[in-house]
Amino acid sequence: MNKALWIARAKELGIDELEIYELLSAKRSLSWYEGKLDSFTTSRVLGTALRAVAGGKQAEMALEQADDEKMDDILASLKEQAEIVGSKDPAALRAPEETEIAVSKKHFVTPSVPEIQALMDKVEKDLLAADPRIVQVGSVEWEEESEIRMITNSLGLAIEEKSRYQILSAEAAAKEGDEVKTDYKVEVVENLADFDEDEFVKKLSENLIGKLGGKSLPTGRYKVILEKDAMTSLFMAMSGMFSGEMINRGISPLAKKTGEKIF
Amino acid sequence: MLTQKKLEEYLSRCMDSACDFAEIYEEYEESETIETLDLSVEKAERQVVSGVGIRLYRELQSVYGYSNETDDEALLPLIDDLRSAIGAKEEGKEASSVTLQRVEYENRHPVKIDYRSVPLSEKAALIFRAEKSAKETDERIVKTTGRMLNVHQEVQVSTSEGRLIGDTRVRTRMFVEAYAREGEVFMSGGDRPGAGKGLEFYEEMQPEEIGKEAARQAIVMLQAKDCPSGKMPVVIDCAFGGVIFHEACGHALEATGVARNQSVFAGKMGMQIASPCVSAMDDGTIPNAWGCQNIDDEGNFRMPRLLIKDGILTSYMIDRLNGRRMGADVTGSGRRQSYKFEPTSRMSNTFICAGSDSFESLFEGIERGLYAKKMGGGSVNPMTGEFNFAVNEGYLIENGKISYPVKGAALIGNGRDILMNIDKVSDNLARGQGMCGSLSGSIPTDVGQPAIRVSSITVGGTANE
Repeated sequence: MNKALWIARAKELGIDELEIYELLSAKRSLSWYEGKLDSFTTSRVLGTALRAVAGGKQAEMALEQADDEKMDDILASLKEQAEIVGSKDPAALRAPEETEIAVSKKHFVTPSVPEIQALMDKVEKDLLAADPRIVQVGSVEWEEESEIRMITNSLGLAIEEKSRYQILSAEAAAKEGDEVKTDYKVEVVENLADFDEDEFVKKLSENLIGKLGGKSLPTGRYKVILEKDAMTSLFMAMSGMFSGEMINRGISPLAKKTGEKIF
Repeated sequence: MLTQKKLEEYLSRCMDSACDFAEIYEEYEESETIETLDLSVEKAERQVVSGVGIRLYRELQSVYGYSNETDDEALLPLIDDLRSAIGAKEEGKEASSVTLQRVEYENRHPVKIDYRSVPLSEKAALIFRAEKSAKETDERIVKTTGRMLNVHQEVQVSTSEGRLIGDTRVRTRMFVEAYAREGEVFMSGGDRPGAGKGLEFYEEMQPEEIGKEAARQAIVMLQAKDCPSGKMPVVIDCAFGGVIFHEACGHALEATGVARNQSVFAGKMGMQIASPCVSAMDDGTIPNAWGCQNIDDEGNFRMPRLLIKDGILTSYMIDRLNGRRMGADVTGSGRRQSYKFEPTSRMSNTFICAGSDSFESLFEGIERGLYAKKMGGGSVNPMTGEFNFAVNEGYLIENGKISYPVKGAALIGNGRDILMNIDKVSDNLARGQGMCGSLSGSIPTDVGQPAIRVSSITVGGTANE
C-alpha cells in the first residue's frame, strides 16, 4: 500500500483528511489433551483500517487487502459513507503531538515448541495428580502473539507501536458424586525459566476443588465479599455505561452525571 | 478465490507429510453497518474480510494456519510450517497428488435485492421508517436508535478427498431500540429481526413493525414492578425464548463437548433427556433463514437433524474432527466466524418443535408464576448445564391469568432439569435471530420454540426484599 498515494488521491476526490491504521499480527497457539498435542495454529495477518473526514463527517472502512488498484473504489465508498452521516459534531483526525512513550517492562522470551509441549504435558499431569476428584483436564493451551500497529494520517501523524504477549491457560473439571464443577486459569508467561508451574497448578486445583460441595442459598439481600477477579468481571459487565458513545447518545445511565456520586 | 490448479498444488503439498487429510478454506466477505440516532445517521462503516485457512489432520491431531496474503510467498511457508508441525511422511510412503472435482448444486437461499446495489441513503431511509414508527407509538418514547447490518460472504472449500465446493451467504438484520421516560423511570425495548436475504426482507418485514415492537416493550416496562423470587412455574414465550434451549441444551449437543465427555449429554444417545412432549431440531436448510447455509464451513451439505424426538436423544451436531473422535458421521455442522477460526460443531437454526397445546392452556392451573415474554442475555456452563438468563419483558401470572409486568427477573437453573420439567408445548412455533459465540467465533444462528411451560424454575428477583 502506497500510503502517500492514497492520501494524495483522497484529497483529489474531496476527502479532507485520511488516516491509515495498519495492524500486522503474527500468532501461534498450541493445545494439549490427554498427553498429546491436540492442535497447533499459526497465522500472519495484516489488517488495514481507513478513517476519512469529509465535510466534517467521518467514515470508516476495515480491509485486509488494501490494493492500490482498488484505491479509487474504496475512497469513493468512504466519501459516500461520510455524506450520509447527519451528526452535528464535527469530526477531526489527530495531529502529531509530543508523546511520551510508555515502554512495556515485560521482556518475553519465546520458548521452542518442544519446551511448550513439555510444559503443557506437565501441567496436565500435575492437575490430574493434584486431587483424585479432578477427573479431567479439558485443555491446556499456549498462545503467543506479536503485533505491530502503525498509524499514518494526512495531518502528518506517523506512529508505530510493537507489542507481544504469551499466555498459558488450563481448564479442568472435578467430580464428587453427581456434582461436576469446572474452573480455568490464565497466566501471562514472560519466560518459562521463571514460570512457577507448581503455583499455577496449585491455584487452579484449589479453586476448582473449592467449588465442590456448594450449597444453595435462599434468595435475598446479603453482604457480599467480592474477590478481585469477581469484582473485575462485575465491573466489566458495567463498563458499557462508561462508553463515550453511549453517553454522547444519552442512553447511558451515567450520561450527564460527571462530578456526581454514582457508586 | 484461488484457481483449481493452485488449490490442487497446495493440497498435494500438504499431503506430502504425515497428515491423512487436508482442507483449504477461502473466504471473501463484505459487510456494512449503518447506525442511526433519532432519525440521523451517526455512522456508516464497511468491512472486507478475506483470507485462507489451511487445516491438516493426522488421526485426531489437527494443525491449522491462516493468512490474508494468498500468494505463493505467503502460503507456501505457511503450508510448510503446518507440515513440520504435523510431522514428516513415513519413509517409503509416496505422496499422493490431489485432483479436485467441483461439486455443483442448486442454491436453496436465493437473494432478490443485493444490498450492494442500493445506495446507503436508501438503506438509512429504511431504518428511519422504523425509528419514526417507534416515536409515533407513544409520546413517552424519548429516544430511538437504529442499526442495519448487511453481509455478503463467498466461501470455497477444497479437500484432499478431491471435493471443491463453494457457497454465497447473504444476510441482513435491523436493530431498533426505543427508550421511554416517565418521570424518573427510563426503560428501553428492542427488536432485532434478520434473515438470510437481501433487502427484499424489508418488503416482508415492514420496518414500521420493528419500530412499533421496540416501542411497545419500552412502554410496557415503564409500568413494571419488581419481580418476586423463588421457585415457580414459568411460561417462556415463542421465538427468542428459545435462547435458553440454545444455550443450556443446544451447546451441550454439539460434538465439541460431547466427543470429550465434556457435556451433560455425552453418552446419552437413545436415552430420555427431556420430557416426552419435547422434540427439537437443528436445521440449516430452512430457506433464507438467518442461520442458513447451503454447505457448512467444511464443505458438507447442510442437513436437518432431529436432535430430540419425544424426549429421546436422537442426534448430536457433528463436525469432521469430532466425528473422528466419536467414530460418527458428520452432520454438516462445522462452522466458523471467518478464515481466522478452525471450524467446530455449531448450531444453525435450532428450535423446539411445535406441540399440540394451545397458548392459552399454558397458563391454566398456575396459581403464581412468571410469563417470560422476551428473554435477554445469559450465560451457561455446557459441561454442567448450569445457566442464568435475564428476562427482558416478563409478567407475573396469578390464578391462571397474566397479571402485571415485572422487571429484574432472572431464570436460574440447569438445562438438563429444564428439559425434563417442560410439561406443555404450544403450537405457535417461531424463531428469533441472534449471534452465537463459541470456540470457532461468532456466527449467526436462529433460536426458536413455541411457547412452553416449565413446571418449576428458580426465578431471581428483588420484590421479596
